[in-house]
Amino acid sequence: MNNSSSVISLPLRIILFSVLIVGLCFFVYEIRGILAPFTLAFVLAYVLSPIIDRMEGSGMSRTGGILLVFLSVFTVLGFAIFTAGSKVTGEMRDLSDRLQREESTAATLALSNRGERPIQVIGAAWEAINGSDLTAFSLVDGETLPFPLEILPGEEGAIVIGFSPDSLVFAQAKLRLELGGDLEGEWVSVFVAGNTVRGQESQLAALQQASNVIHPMGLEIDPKWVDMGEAGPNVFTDVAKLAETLQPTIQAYLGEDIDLVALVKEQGATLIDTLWGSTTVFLGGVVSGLTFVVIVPFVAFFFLKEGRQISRKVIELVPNAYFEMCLNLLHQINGQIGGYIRGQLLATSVVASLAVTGLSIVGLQYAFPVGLLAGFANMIPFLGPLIGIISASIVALATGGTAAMGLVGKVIVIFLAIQLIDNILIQPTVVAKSVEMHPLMVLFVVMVGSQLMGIVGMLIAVPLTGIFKVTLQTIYAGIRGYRL
Amino acid sequence: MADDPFWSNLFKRKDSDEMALFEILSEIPIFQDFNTREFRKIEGILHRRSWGVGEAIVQEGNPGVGMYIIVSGDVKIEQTSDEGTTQTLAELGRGDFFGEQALLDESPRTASVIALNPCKAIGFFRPDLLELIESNPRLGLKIVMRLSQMISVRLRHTNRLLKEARQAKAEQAQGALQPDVSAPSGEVSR
Repeated sequence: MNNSSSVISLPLRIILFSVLIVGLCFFVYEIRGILAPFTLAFVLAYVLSPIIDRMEGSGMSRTGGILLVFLSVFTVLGFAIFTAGSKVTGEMRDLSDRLQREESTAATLALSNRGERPIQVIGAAWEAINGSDLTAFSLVDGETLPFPLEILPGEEGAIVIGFSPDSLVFAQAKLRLELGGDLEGEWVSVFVAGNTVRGQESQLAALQQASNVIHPMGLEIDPKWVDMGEAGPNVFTDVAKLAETLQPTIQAYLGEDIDLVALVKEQGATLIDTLWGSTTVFLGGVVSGLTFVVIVPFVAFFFLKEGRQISRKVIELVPNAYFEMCLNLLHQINGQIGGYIRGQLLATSVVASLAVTGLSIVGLQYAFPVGLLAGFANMIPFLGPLIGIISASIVALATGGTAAMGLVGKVIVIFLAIQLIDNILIQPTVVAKSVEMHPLMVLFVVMVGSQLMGIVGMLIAVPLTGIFKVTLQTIYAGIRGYRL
Repeated sequence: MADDPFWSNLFKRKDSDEMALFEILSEIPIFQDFNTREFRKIEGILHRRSWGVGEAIVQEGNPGVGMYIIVSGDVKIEQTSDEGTTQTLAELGRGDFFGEQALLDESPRTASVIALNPCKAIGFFRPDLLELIESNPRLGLKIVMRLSQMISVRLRHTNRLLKEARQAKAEQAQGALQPDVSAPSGEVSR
């Protein structure tokens, strides 16, 4: 077995090894969607293993210990979900919706002339249905609308309708098109509705009934009624509103060509797109319901129960010459990674609970998701606290109304206090000094992470690099004693 | 019936392998008078490996990780002097063990162990011992206790040799005899 490896020359071996590594990386990247439950199970196993070792040490069987720990973890989780779950998930869904929601939608109405004579549309007006609010509906490019619009027989005209409501409630209206020429005084109307998903099904049915109107002179309107989809103010609409009030002050300093409102809206939308875009791909594998609940405990169970045997089998494959070294390194790496993961998780949960508590006391809406994000982001040195502060401030600006500025102030105070606690109490005790990373390194890996997996990538980039660094350090320190 | 997969699976051949292993282990002072249950626990953390002729099981100077118990084959223990000459210190065979001191600390190996013929051995290593102490303190402590007893016996032996050497030296100085100093330099301990 040893002879066969010396048949291959060293450069060839290096090339083969590199190809293997690159191939492996590519493979991992390709299957990243399903890696999440395995990674989570791996982390879970590392977190729980000291507890289970302790239980085994006190005389319990390992399987029994694992089952007991799992049972208690599930009980606690179940209790948490039962008591606070719906509120929390509701808050999260609501927040992500507010972040991603389109401010406005548009739809095109095609008018085709199936008759023999030209048809002239000379104007359009909105009519309320059951006293509905009309401000949400508009005709896009009001000034340049092609009225009067003449449609020759067999030809087609188009009108673009815009929908930008200031709330999320179901909205409906009738668009009344005034006809001219021979048909002076005649009109056709089209039903338009938006945010229908949030409205009742019955409303839609009623609309569809109502839109069965016979149009004179062969004017065919497609679609028969218009569904504008979902739209409403997102977080950046609210922030932009605040920016508007600051606009004059800023322009006084920075010049006339700074448009703060446009800047906030554009940059905000880009930011959300970047963060969310690839995240959903990644999370798709995770959140797909049962897989997550079933696979993670299942995999974690085997990692915990058979971890030793698995690593023993792996070590068996190592050639004699490197066997002792690998055994030693594997043991040390195992200890280091375990310490790192447990430290990070402890720091994260302490910071997250501090943030959630603090933000709820201050009265910030969505305190739970924002606090949680701040806790996880805290794993990223330098940038993490900033992410926490910025996201909480945006939420404060968007939801605070008139007291927004005061709320932002309180949020900043809360975060400063947490940073103080984190840097004085938590970091020195739980996070190993050896894993400190250079700020440039942190920036680089966070950007790579966000490129590959969006916000989730950003959050896992630093701990992954930490694990990698710990491993390399251990290998480097351990390998020096050996003659190779 | 021995070839019948059903029966051979039911009464696993592993049992006889296991018994042979336990037999070898029970000869080792560290595992003396262990019961079958304890042997089963130990067996779970042992590594079985094999070496070809001339292959080094242990390389002098490398950090020590643990002990080996020879199951089959023969090995020689070699030490390289500062001048670069190698000297064979001993030859070991089935049931012999070496390297037990590395279970206690990570100091470099003091000699190399080379396989003289195709050789099989069981490895018992410090990381696994440390884990055993965590997961089964009673058993772990038993092993560590035996190890300390072995080391202590060896230390007493070394002390006696040292004492004898001192006495011999004193007698030499008194009698001013011929300079025939062949005092034992102490056993090779790994």
